[in-house]
Amino acid sequence: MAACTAPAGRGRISSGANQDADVFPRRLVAWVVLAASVFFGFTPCPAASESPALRPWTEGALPSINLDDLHGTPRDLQAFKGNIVLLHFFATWCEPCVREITSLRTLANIARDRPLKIVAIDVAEVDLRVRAFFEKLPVDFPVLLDRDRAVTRAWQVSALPSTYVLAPDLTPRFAIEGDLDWTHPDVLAILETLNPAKAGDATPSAPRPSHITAITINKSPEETSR
Amino acid sequence: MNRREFLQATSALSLAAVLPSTAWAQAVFAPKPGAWRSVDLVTKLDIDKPEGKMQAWIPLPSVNEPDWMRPGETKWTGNAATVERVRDPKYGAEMLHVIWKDGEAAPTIEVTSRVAMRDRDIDLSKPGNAAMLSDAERKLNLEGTDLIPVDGIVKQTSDKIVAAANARTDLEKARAIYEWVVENTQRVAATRGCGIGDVAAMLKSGNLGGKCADLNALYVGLARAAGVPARDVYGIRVIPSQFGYKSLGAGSSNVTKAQHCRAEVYLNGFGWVPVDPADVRKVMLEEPPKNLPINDPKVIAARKALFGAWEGNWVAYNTAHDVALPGTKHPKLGFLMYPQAERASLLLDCLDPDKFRYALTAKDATAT
Repeated sequence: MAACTAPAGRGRISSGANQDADVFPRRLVAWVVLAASVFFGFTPCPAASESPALRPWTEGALPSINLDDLHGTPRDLQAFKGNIVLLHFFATWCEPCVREITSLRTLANIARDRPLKIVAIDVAEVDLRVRAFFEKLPVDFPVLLDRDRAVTRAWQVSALPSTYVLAPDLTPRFAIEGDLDWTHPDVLAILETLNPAKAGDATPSAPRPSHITAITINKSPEETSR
Repeated sequence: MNRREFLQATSALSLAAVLPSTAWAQAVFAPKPGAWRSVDLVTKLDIDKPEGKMQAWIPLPSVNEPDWMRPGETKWTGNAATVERVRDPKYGAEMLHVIWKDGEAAPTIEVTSRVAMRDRDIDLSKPGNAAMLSDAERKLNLEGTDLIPVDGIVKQTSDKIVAAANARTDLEKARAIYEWVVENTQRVAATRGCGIGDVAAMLKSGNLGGKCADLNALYVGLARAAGVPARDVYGIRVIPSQFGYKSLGAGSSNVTKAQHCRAEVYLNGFGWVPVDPADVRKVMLEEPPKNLPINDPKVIAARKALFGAWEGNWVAYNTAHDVALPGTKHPKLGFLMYPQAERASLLLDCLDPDKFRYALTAKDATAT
C-alpha cells in the first residue's frame, strides 16, 4: 500500500504560523549552517524546495514508549533522555520511508558521539520482515517494533513516514509527516537549537541569535567511551 | 472531411496497418451468470528452518452465495499434531489452524478446497426484490475497522465526492465513489502483496497509489462513510479471464501470488452489488501493451462492467477485517488473504512465500 507521503521536494522547514521561514533570521541561519558544517562536517546541500515541513509541536506531551527492538529486547524511550531524539515512524513497504532511512543513516554518522539519537519505530509489520529489511540495509540506531500500532496511535501518527524531534527532556518539539533530508543545513540548524548544552535557552518558536553562540554539541556522558 | 478529421483518419489507418487485427477488435468485458466452473485450490505449506512452537493458519473459502460462490469439501494431508477448522466469530471467516509438535523436523501440510463459481452481473437499471440487510448486517458493513475509519478525513472526502456528483440515492452515491476511485487512484507495481489498506493514511498523505487491498478498501471506506453498506471480499484469482484480459485472471495454475481483493456495495432492491475499481486501474497499468490511457477501449469496457459485475474466475475467501489468529499473541491482521505461520513464536512473512514456504495451485475441476 501506499499510505506514505511522496513529496515533490524535501526539506522545507516551517516554524510556526507566525514566523514561518523567518524563525531563523537569514544571517543567523547562514552562520549556524557554517558553524554546524564545521561541527558536523557536512557539505551544505542545495536549497530545499517544497513540503513536507518540519513544524513546531504545540500539542503537548505524548505517552511513554516501551517496545521490543529487532532482537526482542524491550527498550524504554526514557533511556535516551539527555539526547536530542529523532523518533521516526516508518514501514518497510513505504517507499519514501526507505529513502529517508538512508538520510537517517547519514545523520547518525554525522552525529556519532554526539547527544543526538535516532530511534526508528516500525509500524505493524511482522518481526521477520523488518529484520530481513535491516539485514540488507544495516543501521546504527535502534529499530523498535510497534506490532499492534498502539504507540503509533498514541503518538497521533496517521501517515508514514512521520518523525518527531524530541528535546533532551523528551518533550516533542518538532514533527513532520513525510520524508526529510535530515542532513540539510537548515534541518541541522533546527536540531542544534535543541542542543542540551543550550537547553533552556532555545525554544522552537522563538530562538534568538544569542542561543546559537555555541554550536558545538557536547558528547553525551554515556558515549564517552565510543 | 476537414483537416482534423482527416488527420485522425490517416493516423488510425497507419496504426491499423502495423498492429495485429486483434488489437482493433472491440474490447469486451461482460461477465454474465452462466455455467458454473469448479477448481481445486491447493495450498501447500512447509515451515522452513523448523524451530520451537510451529503453527499455521490457512484461509479457507468461506463465502457461500448460492448465485455465484459455492465452497465444497476441504481436505488436508500432512504431519501436523492437530488440525482444526476455526471460524472468525464476527465475520465468519474460516481458516485451518494447524499445530505441529515442537521439534517436528519437516512441518508440512497440504490443503485442498473444492470451489464452484460463476460470473455475476446485476441489472442496475431497475431494482429487484433482493433481501434486505438485517440491522446487524447493516451495522457491521457500515462501521469502521482498524484501518478503514469512516469518520475524519474519510467522511470528509466521501461527503465531497457525493456532493460534487449531486448524488442522492445509494446507487448514485455508490457509483460516484466508484468513478472517483477509478479516476483518482493509481495501481503501484512496487507495492508488496496486495497492499495494507490504511485508508485514512492514504487520504491524509494524498498518495492514493497501491494495489487492490488499498484501492478497494478506499472504496469500501468512502461508501460506508456515505452511509452505504460495503465490504471488501478477499480472495484469489484461479482461472484466466475468458474475455482475454491477461491482467484480470490467473496467469497459470500457479496462483501463489494471485491474491485479489474485490468489493461489494449493498443497494436496496439490488442486494450486494459487485464492484472492483482496483481492477480498472490494474487493466490500465498491466493490460498489454501496458500503461493504457483511461479512454482505451479495454479500460472503458472494464470500467463499465466492474460496477455491477465480476468474472467468476476468482475464489472468495472471506469479508473479514481485524482478524485474530487463534493460539497466538500476534496482533490482529488487517485481513486474512494469505497463509500465515509462526515459528518459535514469530510470525513468518506471508509476503515472502519462497522463504515461508507456501505455494498455491488451482486445478480445473469443472469436469470432475
